[in-house]
Order: sequence, then structure tokens, then C-alpha cells
Amino acid sequence: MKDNGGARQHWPCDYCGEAAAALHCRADAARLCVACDRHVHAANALSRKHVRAPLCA
Amino acid sequence: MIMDALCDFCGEQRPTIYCRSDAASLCLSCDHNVHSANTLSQRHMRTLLCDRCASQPAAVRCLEENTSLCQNCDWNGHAATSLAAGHLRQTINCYSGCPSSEELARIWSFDFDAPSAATEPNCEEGISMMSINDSGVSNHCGVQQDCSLLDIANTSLMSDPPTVEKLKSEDEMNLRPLPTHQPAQSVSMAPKVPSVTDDDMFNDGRVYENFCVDDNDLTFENYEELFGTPHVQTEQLFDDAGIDSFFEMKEMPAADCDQQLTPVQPECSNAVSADSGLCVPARQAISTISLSFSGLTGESNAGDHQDCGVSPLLLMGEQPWLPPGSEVSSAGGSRGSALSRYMEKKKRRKFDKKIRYASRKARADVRKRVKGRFVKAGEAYDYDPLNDTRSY
Repeated sequence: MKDNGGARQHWPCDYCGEAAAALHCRADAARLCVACDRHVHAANALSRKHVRAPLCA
Repeated sequence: MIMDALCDFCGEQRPTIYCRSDAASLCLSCDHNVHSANTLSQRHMRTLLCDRCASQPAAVRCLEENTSLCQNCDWNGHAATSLAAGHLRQTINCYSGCPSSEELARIWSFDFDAPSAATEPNCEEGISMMSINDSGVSNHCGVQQDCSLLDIANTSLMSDPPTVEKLKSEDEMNLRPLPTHQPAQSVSMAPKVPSVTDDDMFNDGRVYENFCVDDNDLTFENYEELFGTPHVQTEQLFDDAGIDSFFEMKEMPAADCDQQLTPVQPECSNAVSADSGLCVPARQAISTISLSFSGLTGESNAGDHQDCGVSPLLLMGEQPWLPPGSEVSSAGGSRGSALSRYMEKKKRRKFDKKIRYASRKARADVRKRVKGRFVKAGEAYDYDPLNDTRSY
């Protein structure tokens, strides 16, 4: 699912399950692609406060 | 109590729910709104807010006072010294997803404040028909035990030092709990914890007994653990009771150099100056003495703490140190027995890896590790062997 032949691996986004995850949200404990991250964390004021960190890639 | 706290979201109502993922206190309606937004937020674990401080998640429910308390308020309010120590407590569960008011009422059947705070009033009818959950009995035992043990530890640590000396004289007696005292304490325990056997609560009973009979006993036990003064040291002292006090004094540096430094020092310097006229700093004096006495009686210190540097020295240095040492122990019988004892122990020496506590090894083996180091089990270390996502 995430193997790319050993050189570089990508997690699928936990929300859509399709795109490669680029960010990790600590509060949600989830890896998200950029689009889903924007969608999820724009939902309300509390989720906007979540700290997200880029994934190693 | 604290009515100043407001919901972190709307800022209007009093918060009743605490979301661990968001680290936010919310009122019930906001909790419902926020966490139904998407699947990710639905996974957040929420629990009741502490009634007293309204800032931390509630961990237990006190049935006597009918309040939900976080761990700190629980410990503060139910100190073992007060009558409140015996209050029945029940652990509070978390929930996730989007439960309706009825479901919340079912989870927390004891609390009719939280669900009805924001939503329908018909909750209260449902609640009044529900009975209090008894599932938490075993949990509350654990909780009570934990907090009572901690309370005892707290109170014992605060008791005054002068009493410690009084205990040192009777330490053996108190280190092993006397069964006679236990019934008195178990009676007070019994009504609260009927299902738990004495075996389970033996530790607790012992602690209680120490606490109630003479809380200084526990102080001494804690003191022991805290300051690392092993009562092995007293055993060693008793072991060498046959040998004169000079040898006994030599034992002390083996056990704990730092603590025994000052009492040992004057005796050391007296003896050493009598022998070889050395007036050296304390540590050298002690090592000198241990060398000379290892020549005579040796001891476990050779293997234990003076370690490898001393033992080869011992083997070579026995001969030169023997003459000054022999002057000290006048009675030939004691010297002979001491020497033979040393030879016996020398034969039995084994400098290899020794596991003293198999249970500790078992625990260490199952502990979670990251890159070979122990880590806290709950932390999100995010260690992916294929893709390391840790940010530096």
C-alpha cells in the first residue's frame, strides 16, 4: 500500500485514502493530504487550532 | 463551584465535556456540533469535566458527594486522613462519536447535570429510571487503593525527621508487618471493600497498618527507599558482630561511603594513624583501610562496590598490607576465623552478569522501546520502520 520500491514510501491520506499524505495532525492522530487537511481543519474553530506537521518525504 | 469557565467554542455556556484530542472544554451542544463535523473529529475521546476545577477531565465519580472529579481534586478531596477517604468512587468512561443525549445518559447514569445542561429535558426522566452502574466496583477499589496509597505516601513524607531515629532502633520489627495489627485496620477497610480478599489487599493492609499504627514506620520505609540506605547495611553489621568494632566500621564504607563518611572518619584516622601514621583525606583513608582489611577479612565489598580496581590490587597487595593489619586484630582466634571466612568468600566470587530480580527483567523485556531506549507507553512516537515521520 505504501511501498514505492524501497526508495520512497507514502502513506495514503487517512481521510480520502487516495492521495499521498503530506501532513500529520497530532490532535487527530491522522495523516492527511493537503486537500483533506484544508477540508477537515476548516470545519470549525477548534480544529483550526490543531497543530500540523509536515511528513518526512 | 467555578462558574467562570466557559465553553471554549461558544464562550457562552458552562462547559461540561472535555475533549482530550482538542484539549478543550466544551458545553454539550458545542461538543455535538464540533465533533459531528467529520469522521476525524468523531474519533476524539471525550469525557466529563471535573466538577471542582472545571479544567481537567474527570477521572472518577464520587458517589457520596455526587461529583465528578479529576485525579487531583480526587486526591485533594479524599485525603486518607479525612473521613472522606472512604467514599465510594467509580471510574468515568470516555466516549467518542456522536452519541445522543439518551446514550450519554446511559453512559453516565449517575450524572443528570451533564446531558440535560444543553438539550432536551426529557433526559431527566430517563435518568431517574436508570440505576447506578455497578461495573466500576473493582475499578474503584483500584482507584481508592491508588489514591490512598499515594495519600499515605504524601502524608508520611511530610512527617518530621526526629522520629526517624526512634525508628531506626526498631526497624526490623516494623519492616515486617505484624499480623496482630492487621485486623484492626481491615475492619475499617471491610465495609468499603467487601469483595477483595486479604491477599489482594495485603500490601494495602500493610500500608494502612503502618500508617495507622505508627505512620513513622512508613516514613522510615520511604526514607529507606528514598535515600537508599539499605537495611542490608544493618544486616552486615549484625553479621560482623563477632568481629570487633573496627571491622564493623570497615563495613560501613562498603555499604554507603557518603553517608558514613563523617562517623567513620575519626575512627579511621585514629586507627590508621596508629598503624602506619597516615593522615590522609577521608576517601583515601577508607580505601586504605578497606585494602588492609581485605587483606585480613576481605568481604563482599571487594566484589561489590570497590570493584575491579581494588580486587586485583587486593590480590597483589595482600602481602604488603598484612603486617600493619596484623597489629590491629590482637586476638588470634578472631583473625583466624576472619581469614578463613575471607578465603571462603574468595572461592565463591563470580564476576559475571547476575540478574537479581527476574520479575524486573520480565518487565524490562516487554517495555516499549524506540531505538533501543525505553519510552513512555502512551506517547505517540510515531515510529514507522519503513517511513520515519518524526520531525527534527
